[in-house]
Amino acid sequence: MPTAQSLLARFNRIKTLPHVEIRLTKLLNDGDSSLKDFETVIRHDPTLVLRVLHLVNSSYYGLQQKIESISRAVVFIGVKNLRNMITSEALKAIFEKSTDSELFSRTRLWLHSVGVGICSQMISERLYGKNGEDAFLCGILHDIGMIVEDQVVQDAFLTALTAAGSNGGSIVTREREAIGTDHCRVGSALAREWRLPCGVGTAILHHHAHMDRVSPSDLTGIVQTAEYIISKMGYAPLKGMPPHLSPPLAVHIRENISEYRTLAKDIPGEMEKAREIYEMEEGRGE
Amino acid sequence: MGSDPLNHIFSEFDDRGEDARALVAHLKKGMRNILFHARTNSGLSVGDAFPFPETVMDRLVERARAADTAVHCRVPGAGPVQALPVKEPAAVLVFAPEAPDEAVRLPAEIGERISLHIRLFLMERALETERAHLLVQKKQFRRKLRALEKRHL
Repeated sequence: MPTAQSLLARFNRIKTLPHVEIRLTKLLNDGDSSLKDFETVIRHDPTLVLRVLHLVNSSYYGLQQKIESISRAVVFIGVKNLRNMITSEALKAIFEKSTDSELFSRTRLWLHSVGVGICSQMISERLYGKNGEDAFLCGILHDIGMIVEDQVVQDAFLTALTAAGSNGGSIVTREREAIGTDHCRVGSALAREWRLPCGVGTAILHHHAHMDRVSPSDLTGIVQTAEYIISKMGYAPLKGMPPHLSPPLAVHIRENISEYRTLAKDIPGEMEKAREIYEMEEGRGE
Repeated sequence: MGSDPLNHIFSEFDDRGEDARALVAHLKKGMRNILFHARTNSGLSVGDAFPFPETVMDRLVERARAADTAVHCRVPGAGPVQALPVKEPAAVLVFAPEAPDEAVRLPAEIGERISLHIRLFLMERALETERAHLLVQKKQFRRKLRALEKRHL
């Protein structure tokens, strides 16, 4: 039976993150990096320069004056946002490959992932007053392990999906039976390999876990809550599998229902604004 | 909670009888001397106790639901009783005079009055929901602003 690590080794021969993303993540992890360092990395990639300027001048930010220099753009959007943008771009290319089937669709998973990313960032910022960039990153990456499985052990992955669909049980259990590991472990290992913040990998690892103790404001709690809301809105990653919510998070939603209702009402607008950035196609997963 | 299409997201966290209870309270405030009872489509019963067995109530509710219009009957000891299906909140509303008397009749225009009261109730609820939404949204935007300020400091 393969482990998460051995799947990743095979996956990395097929697809890696862009070099620029890895360099930016290294700079982010290095406390001594200056803005000038970030600027230098970006300037080496002309496509990225154009992309950053396009993003910062898009209607998403609604600026009155056009920003034309890369240094001002980096200051404005922030380095973590920039890293998220580049990661999303790289992910989009990964999600686009391969054909979609009735059982599993990368397009559907992409819509789901962007939705969970946006919702996680909203929860972090609007409920807890915390920066939402890491929450966004967790959200957009939380199911990346499925892409690795689909790419490397497709037959076993489809067997797991079929078993979960027909016999019930959690997708994670069925993946362990059919593949020997699951998308949470694979995704978490990938986050470690990409040297993403430690909390991101932990949240990816536990996003399907049934936990009796989980803080709603932790990245794990935020991603599980966001996945529940987005799936209920019709952007479920897989057909016929109900979203999971740990008991403390269900209690938290019940106690703060007006906060979550308000948040959910604003999600379609936020997703519409993100459409320009993430080039999402119209339509829901279901 | 109104007809917002996003409401189903949190439907499992809703107090299912809340809307029906609020409607019954609203009707009782506006129309005195009448007993009101609501049976929601999910089977919850809220409101006044009626002076007749539950089985009579069950039959009346079923008849109104099947006919999808108001049904009338006269129950011994309770006088004239009517059951009216309501779309929102999804329920059947049963009403009868508070002091049962064989000679008592419900006013001819009672169905119309109740419909107007329900419309008023729904509009007030929608207004209240929107007001609450704006207040929470304002609070959330303040928190988000705090987060953005921290990022740029």
